[in-house]
Amino acid sequence: MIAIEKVACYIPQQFESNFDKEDIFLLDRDFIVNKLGVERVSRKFSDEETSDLCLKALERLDQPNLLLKEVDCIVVCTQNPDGNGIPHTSAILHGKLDLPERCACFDISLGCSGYVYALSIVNAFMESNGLKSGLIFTADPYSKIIDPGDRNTVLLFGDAASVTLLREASEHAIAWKAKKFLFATKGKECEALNNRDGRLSMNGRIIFNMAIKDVPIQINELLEATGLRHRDIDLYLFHQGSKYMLDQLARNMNLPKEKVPINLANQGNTVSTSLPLLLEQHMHSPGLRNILLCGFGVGLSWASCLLIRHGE
Amino acid sequence: MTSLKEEVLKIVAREAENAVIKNDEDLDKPLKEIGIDSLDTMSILLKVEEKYRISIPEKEIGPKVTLRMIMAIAGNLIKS
Repeated sequence: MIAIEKVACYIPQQFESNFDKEDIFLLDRDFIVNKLGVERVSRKFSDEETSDLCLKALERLDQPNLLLKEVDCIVVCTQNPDGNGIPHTSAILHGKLDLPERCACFDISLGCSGYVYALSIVNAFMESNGLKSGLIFTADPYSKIIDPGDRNTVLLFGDAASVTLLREASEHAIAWKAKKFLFATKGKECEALNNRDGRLSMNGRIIFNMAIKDVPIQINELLEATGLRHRDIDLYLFHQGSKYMLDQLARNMNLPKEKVPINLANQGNTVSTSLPLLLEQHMHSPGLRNILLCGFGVGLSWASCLLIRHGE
Repeated sequence: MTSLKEEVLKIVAREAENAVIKNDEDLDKPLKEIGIDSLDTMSILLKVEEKYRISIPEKEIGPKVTLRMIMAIAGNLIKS
């Protein structure tokens, strides 16, 4: 049984404060803290490529029993790859890590729903090919494409990367097994978040409507499919779009705030890394049995899955 | 039956806690001037859309949109 053994993240320690932009964008402190929920956004250093962010996440994995030469596959989820996307960033990472030739590598082009997709794809890929050890990386440094004059995006998106170790679960070690995935796409509205001519542009209202209208439907379908009720879910880890969006989502679904963690304040919305950032923070908390993950954004694409704790 | 105006004002009261509407003239002020920010606006529009099963086009909602304009747009969409 393949399960999530560990997650590690890297947040570049270079930040832009949103409080410094109050005058430029006519903002007040209350809006920054209580609505956006983002007090500062992380920015990668100029000499860091997407694959470097992945490498730094891996350095933080701190898993002494993981031998890189035994890794069977590495997958990078990004829409801001190294260079112009050829070669794929996972191959560049493979080279930098000096991994064996038998290690499979591919990239996944998805945004905020990407982590859930990647869990499903890599789980299935490993199980169908008899692989024992895999690494999922997420790194989507939007600072490469952000327009510094666009208040819709520059205040919101931060850079970060994550790595998730998937391995054959041992009987005793704690691991999280992904169970039941659901996916959805609304391609007719895909232009709501786009990169045209190298600049990111977002229609916040369309993204907000998807989060508030479509996400709850999928979550209820997921619960129905797994025979669980809301009270069985210990934590809802939602893509960290904005604090306002998460507050409204929790309110509309009648979810207790303590079950919907928000961790935007110190780095912002980190696209496909927002879910692993939350997971890293919470997966070792005692008493948790069921965690629901839901990513939503670029595409429009949204995806959910249930993680069940395995082992003691 | 609750009028469209009353219904929109009820939605505003629920969705925008900092909104200050003292009189009818406030309905003609840009939303920001009456304490409704861009995020509250998204919620208000969504609730109006859900209530009346309409879809308010993005192009109708400019930076100077007012509550009276939202009521008028919704009214026209309901009629059609």
